[in-house]
Amino acid sequence: MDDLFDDILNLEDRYYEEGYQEGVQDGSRAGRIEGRVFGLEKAFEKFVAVGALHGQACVWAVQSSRVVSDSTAPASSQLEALPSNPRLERHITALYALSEPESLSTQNTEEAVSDFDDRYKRAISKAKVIENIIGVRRSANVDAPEPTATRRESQPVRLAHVDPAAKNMEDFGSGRS
Amino acid sequence: MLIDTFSRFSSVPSPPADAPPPSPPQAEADDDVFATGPSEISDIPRLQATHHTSGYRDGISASKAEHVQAGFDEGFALGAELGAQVGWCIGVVEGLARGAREEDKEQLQGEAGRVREELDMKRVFGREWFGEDGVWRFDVPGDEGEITFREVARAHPLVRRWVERAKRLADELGVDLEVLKGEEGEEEA
Repeated sequence: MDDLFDDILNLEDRYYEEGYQEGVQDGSRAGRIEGRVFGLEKAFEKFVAVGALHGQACVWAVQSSRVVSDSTAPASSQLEALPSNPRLERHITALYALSEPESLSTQNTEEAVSDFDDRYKRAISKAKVIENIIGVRRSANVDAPEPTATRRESQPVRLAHVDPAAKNMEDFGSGRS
Repeated sequence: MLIDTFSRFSSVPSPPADAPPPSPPQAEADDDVFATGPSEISDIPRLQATHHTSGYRDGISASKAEHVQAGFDEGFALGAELGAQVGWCIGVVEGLARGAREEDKEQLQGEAGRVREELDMKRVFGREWFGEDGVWRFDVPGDEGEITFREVARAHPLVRRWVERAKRLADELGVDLEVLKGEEGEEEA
C-alpha cells in the first residue's frame, strides 16, 4: 500500500515536472517576445521625439542667415529666411548637436539613458528658445513627450530580474526566418 | 498589431482542462483503491491534467520574468534606430512646411500631415513589416549576422520611402540638410 502511495506521488511529480518544463520553454519565448515588442515601442517613441528636433534643426540651419551667407552654394533656399542673429545661429547649432542621433546611444543602460534624457531635455529647451526668438511655435504634438516630468528620471527600463545568460542577441539578430 | 502579440503572449495559455482534483477513493473500493473500474480510467488523465497544468503555470511564470528584460533590451536598440529615422523625417518635413513661403505652404503642410500619418508607430510596426514575434520581415541588404540595427532601420520600406521623400522635398526648395554637418568636426568629403 505504501508503494502504491509512493507511485501515485511520483506520478504527480512527474506530471508536474513535465508541465513545468513545457512552461519554461513557452515562458522564455513568450517573455522575450513580450519584452522585445515593448522595447521596440518604448524606444521608438523616445527617439522619434529627439529625431524630430534634429530634423527641424537641419531646416532651421538653412534658414538662419549666417549659414546661408557662408554656404558655398548660393543662398537659393526657397524658405523664409530667419532674422540675422548670431545668438540664434548658435542656438540652432547647439540644438543640432544635442539632438544628433548618430551620437546618441541606443542601449537601454543606465549611462545611455541618462545621457539621452539629459540631452533631450536640453534640446527641448533649446528649441523653445529658438521658437521664442523667431516668434513661431511648433505644433503642440511635436513637443510631446515632455522630458521625464512625472516618470522617474534617467533610469533604464528594468522590467524584471535579468538573467545575464539570457542576454544574447541570437534570436533577434539572426533568428529571422 | 503589436498589441495582439503582447496580449497573446502575456496571458498564460488556458490549461488543458479545468479538472477538479482527483476524487478521493470511493468507499466501496476501500480495500483496493486502484482496482480496475470506471473511476480509475477517469482519474489518471485528470491527475495528469491537474499536475501538468500547475507545473506549466509555475514554469511559464518563472521563465517568462527572466527573459522579458533581455527581450526589452533587444527591442529597445532597434526601436531607437527606427524612431530616430522616423523622427528626422517628421522634423524635416514639418520644418519645411513651417519655413515655407506662402505659395508652397499648402502643399508642404499636406506632406507634413502625411508623414505623421504614414510613419505612425502602428504603421511602422504593422504586420506587414514585423512578425508577431517582433522581428522584422522586410529584406535587409548585407550579410545576415553582420547587419546592424541601423541598417535594419534604414531598410524599412516606409522609412526608406520617407527619408527619400524628405530629401527630395528639401532639394526642390534648395535646402541643404547637411549644412551643419561640418559643425561637429566631422570630415566632409
